[in-house]
Amino acid sequence: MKKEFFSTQTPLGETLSLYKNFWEGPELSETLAIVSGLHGDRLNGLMAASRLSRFLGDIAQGREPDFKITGNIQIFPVVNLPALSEGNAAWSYDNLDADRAFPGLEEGDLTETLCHAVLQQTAQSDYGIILQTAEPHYTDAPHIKMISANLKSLARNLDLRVTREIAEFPALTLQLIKQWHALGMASFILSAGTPGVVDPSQSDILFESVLNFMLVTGFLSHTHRKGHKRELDFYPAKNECTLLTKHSGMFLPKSKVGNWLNVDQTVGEVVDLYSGEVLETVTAREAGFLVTLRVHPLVHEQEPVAVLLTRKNKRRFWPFS
Amino acid sequence: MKTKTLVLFKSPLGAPVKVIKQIFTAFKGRPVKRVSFVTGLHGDELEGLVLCHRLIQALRQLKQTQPEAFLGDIHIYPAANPSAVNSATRLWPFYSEDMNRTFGQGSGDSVPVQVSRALFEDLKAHSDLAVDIHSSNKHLLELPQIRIIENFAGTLVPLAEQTCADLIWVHPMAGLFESTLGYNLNLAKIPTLVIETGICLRIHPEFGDQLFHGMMHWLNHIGVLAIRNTPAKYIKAPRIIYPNQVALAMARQSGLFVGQARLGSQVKQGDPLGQMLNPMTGEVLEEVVSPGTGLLFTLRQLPLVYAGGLLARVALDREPEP
Ligand SMILES: [Zn+2]
Repeated sequence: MKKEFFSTQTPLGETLSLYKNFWEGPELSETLAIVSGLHGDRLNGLMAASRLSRFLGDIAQGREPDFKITGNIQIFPVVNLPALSEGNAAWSYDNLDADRAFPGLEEGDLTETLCHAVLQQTAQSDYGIILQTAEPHYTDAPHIKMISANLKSLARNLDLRVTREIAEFPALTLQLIKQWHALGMASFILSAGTPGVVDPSQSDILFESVLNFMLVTGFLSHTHRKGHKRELDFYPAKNECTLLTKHSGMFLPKSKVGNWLNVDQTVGEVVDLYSGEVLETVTAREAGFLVTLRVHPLVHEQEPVAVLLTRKNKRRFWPFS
Repeated sequence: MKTKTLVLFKSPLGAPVKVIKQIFTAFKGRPVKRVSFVTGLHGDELEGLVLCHRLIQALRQLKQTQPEAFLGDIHIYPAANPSAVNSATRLWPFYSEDMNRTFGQGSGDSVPVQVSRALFEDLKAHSDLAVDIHSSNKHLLELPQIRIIENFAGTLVPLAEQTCADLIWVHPMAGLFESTLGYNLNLAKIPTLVIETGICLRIHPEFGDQLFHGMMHWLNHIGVLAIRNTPAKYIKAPRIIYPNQVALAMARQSGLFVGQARLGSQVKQGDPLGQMLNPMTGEVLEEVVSPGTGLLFTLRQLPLVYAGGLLARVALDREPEP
């Protein structure tokens, strides 16, 4: 069911509203909050959220008779509405990254009040999932991010193999996931793809991941499908290996996210913008899973172009963890 | 004066990203103190660039005429985020990164973060005290003020009292400060004053004069310079305000704010500050009045406002009744 939870007016007097979709399970059910659209250009999550809403709507209407909604589910497809309508990551009026504006303000500038409203609406939830992509100029292989390693067992419900610990840093406190974490919610970010691009195969992966989570965690039931807990590769933050360029120029990737790279395997080349001459071959310093790769070609010296998740002390969580 | 490059990155198109500082050393022996001035973390805040220019100009002259006046070292970083300054944008362009949200451990390896890290390490290595100069965003105009997080008030308020700013605003800690330069320097035991003055993209020569003379007066007070030439008209004791002494006027409805009050004026509760207009219908949506009696130290400049947006701040003469 679609419900308005925030409304204001523009200076010209037009209404600006935020909506959520929600479905209620039996009394005393747990609650799952799903958020996308923290940035106006992270579109895979938006597509996945929209598909989830349609699917849950179909169940509620009896069009998926084998499924039943057995928990409370809320979907917030859009947070930074003005940014989305501009097609930008942030809204040009305040240039404020909404995922650096939590917990927001009850009374304040619009982006802050939008963040406050979403946090208020989700704060009573037991679980939170944020649908994201890589940062601007990068692409991500589909993977799970989480603050607490204690959630490893639950992360297996998300049916994505690669799970990455989010390192603590001061501005993390301004992000939704950290606010949820502080409230005691079991919270995850699912990231896939690149800003500004819809990749149906990646938004399908996000959709299937959340669907599996809902089945295994008890938000949905099915007459015979149970969902499954997947084997998980958990990579602590300290196992991340960032590859930097030595030269400035144009970076041309020679690998793909989702690949396992061996030591010295080529990740890409930096070529001179004017001569086209190859200045440098960027190679894997360590063996690892290529989770993030630069997509914008222009790079400075010392620019991060890839993130590898390496297996130093790697631990696999299956079947008893 | 010596110029030192602390960061040098070749950009994709060849031109370097270069952060420099100007160094004025003590006349002889060990410096009594080492003071750093930083500006341009936000590339559209230009009051700090003017202030640093004035300081560099005056200190160069002093080096020639009165070199013995330098008892301490002074380091000036006139453009900490040169890419943003060159584009006149708040954020580091291309990355859309707010450089003043990148300080502290573990913020990653992006180019802006690497620059922040180099800047921070250099400041830590060469400063006993620091000043980080900002202007407001494009929405608000601010009287020259020193902003102090209350955790650091014991050390910073006595220092700030000698800056000849209009105000010292002691405010509570909040999450957004954790990744700022000022907070992290203070945490590293380098007392750092954060100046907020004017508005981005514009320059107010009278604020520049006030802060320039204020900073020279302060350098003299803390013993880094031995000069006594601050014009009397600039010497003043800033008004110190605590959170319960700041009254806010917020927009109740979205619309066009047309101000009629003057920043820096003494206002009484209920005095008119401006009107909120509906530009489509010709209606006056709201008569905006002062939320208290005191000094009007913040005033909205960008007229387009959404409901809840800040219109004005007043430093109250008296603390409100509990
Ligand atoms: Zn600033």
